[in-house]
Amino acid sequence: MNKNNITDTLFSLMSARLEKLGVSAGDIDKTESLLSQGIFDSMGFIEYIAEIEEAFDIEIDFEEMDAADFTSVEQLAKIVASSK
Amino acid sequence: MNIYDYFEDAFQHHPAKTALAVDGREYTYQQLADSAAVLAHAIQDSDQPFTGLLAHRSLTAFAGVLGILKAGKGYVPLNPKFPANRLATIINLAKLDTLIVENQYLPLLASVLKKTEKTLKIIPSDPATLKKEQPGFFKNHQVLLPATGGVANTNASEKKSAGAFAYMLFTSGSTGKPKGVPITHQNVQNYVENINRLMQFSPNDRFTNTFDLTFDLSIHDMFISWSNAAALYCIAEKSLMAPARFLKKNKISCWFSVPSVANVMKRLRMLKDNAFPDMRYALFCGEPLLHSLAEKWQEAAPNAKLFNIYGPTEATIGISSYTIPKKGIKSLNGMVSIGRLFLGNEMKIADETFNDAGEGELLLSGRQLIAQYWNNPDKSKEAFTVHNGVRWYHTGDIVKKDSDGDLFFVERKDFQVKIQGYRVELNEIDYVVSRFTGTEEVRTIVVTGSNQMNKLVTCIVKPPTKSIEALDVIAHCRNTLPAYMVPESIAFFSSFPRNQNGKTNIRELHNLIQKENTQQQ
Repeated sequence: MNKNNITDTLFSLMSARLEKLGVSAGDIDKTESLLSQGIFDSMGFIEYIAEIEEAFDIEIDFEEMDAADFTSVEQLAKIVASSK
Repeated sequence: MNIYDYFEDAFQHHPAKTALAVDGREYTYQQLADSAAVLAHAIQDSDQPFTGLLAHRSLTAFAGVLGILKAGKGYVPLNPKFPANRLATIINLAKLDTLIVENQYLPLLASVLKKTEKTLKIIPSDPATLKKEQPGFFKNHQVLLPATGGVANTNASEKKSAGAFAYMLFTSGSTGKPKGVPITHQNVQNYVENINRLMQFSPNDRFTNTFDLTFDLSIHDMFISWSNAAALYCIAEKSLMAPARFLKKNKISCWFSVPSVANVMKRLRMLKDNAFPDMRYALFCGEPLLHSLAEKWQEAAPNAKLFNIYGPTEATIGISSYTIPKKGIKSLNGMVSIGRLFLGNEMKIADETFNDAGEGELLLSGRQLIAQYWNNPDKSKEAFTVHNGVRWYHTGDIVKKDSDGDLFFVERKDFQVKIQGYRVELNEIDYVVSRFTGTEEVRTIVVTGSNQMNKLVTCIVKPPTKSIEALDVIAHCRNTLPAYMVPESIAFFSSFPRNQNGKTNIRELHNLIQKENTQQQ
């Protein structure tokens, strides 16, 4: 799966959330934290991570990371690509 | 005493040691003392007991706290994450005439000051990088520039009497007005002495700072680390949700957070066995700590002693503590014991008629309790009662005690709840929504999701003729209330369920929403 497909899947996994907030995917800054953009709170984000892991059938290793390393769409896409 | 002296003592003995790491930089006790001295000098002419501080996880935030204390004032933290309206309300209620502001928040301050009552003296943190137009934001106010070359660091802080205030925080108030909780130096001193008696810290320790200045547990971070001449490591906002790398990289030895942060780390599988071998102490406070989470943390930090701390803001940071054993952790309904009261305080578990009870509301008195709310006799009367000559604070927390004398939190007495560790009075949300929608019947309730996390749902009785959009209500709350008080969703009703007395049947309302929520999941 290439990076564009991964990004598309990352957006589709948050589509229900975006609809509820009245935000379109195009408005999201891919380099900025999804939490600081108000898309998720911490618990919502954890659920989102669980959905990502299920959709790609991966288990991400967060052990050596800080939240600042994995909360933007771009960071997540990279992590997913390297976890496969 | 002045709690600044905890810092001053460490500075006198260890000027070259690291006092603070923030924003990717380390500062020695000398550097932090110098920065504090400049700010103390700049505010010394204020006539008010409190000085405002609009700064966040930066050198200015910590030097500001120290500088204000050194000048003999109490600080009122202004959280830049709060809406401008709320900041203006706090400035007005605290009657601030002077405030220190980190340069990056000057535009925010300009919008806050449109709603304030008094003329203010504004002290920007860094005159060197002040843009030309910035002082122009503040037409009716006075911008004072702190000395750029530093000032003579006059000896110790101005000595204050024990009754003087160290800080004031504003908690959620049910009439929509936040309540000021003014804390004295003596209040803090009692807390610091208790913690330093219970735990053996050293100048080699490295403490976390996870808490914003508007959360009183940040006082612990600052003054427990500095009273031990140790180093305080402030975690950046963006890493805060789950800072595993930060802990490892900085070899953090003393951790303190709300259990929610630990829970997120657990869910992200950051709490692997022996993940944090350098950790000597781990403290939790602010919301119930689950037994299973405490055990998981023990496995991740096998060399750490764990403590569960409890205490309302009115009782200064924390007033009881439970030392969590390696085996046989005491808990009730899965929540770890909150232990025993700190020395210098008294407690009573009382029933409705003020008699001692096995299970009942926890009442507190003693050295850590505030005398009253700030300029709010009505709220003070509600929260404090005098009984046999002793003045008791009603915590609103239902607790019970086991035969060893260890306390257990049972539930909240009223509808005040905790969301992400913050205290929320649901009435305050109702008030805001009711005013915005022009409807009478509004009730915010808390439902528990499948992940055991609390979620706010605001229920509104909507007259058929009225058009109210859920998204507009949420947007309004976002502009008016702190993020943790914004409801997750809005539920519309044609009428609320009633009990026999004609009162809204909250339990039934709760059941309806909880059911709907469970079905959705």
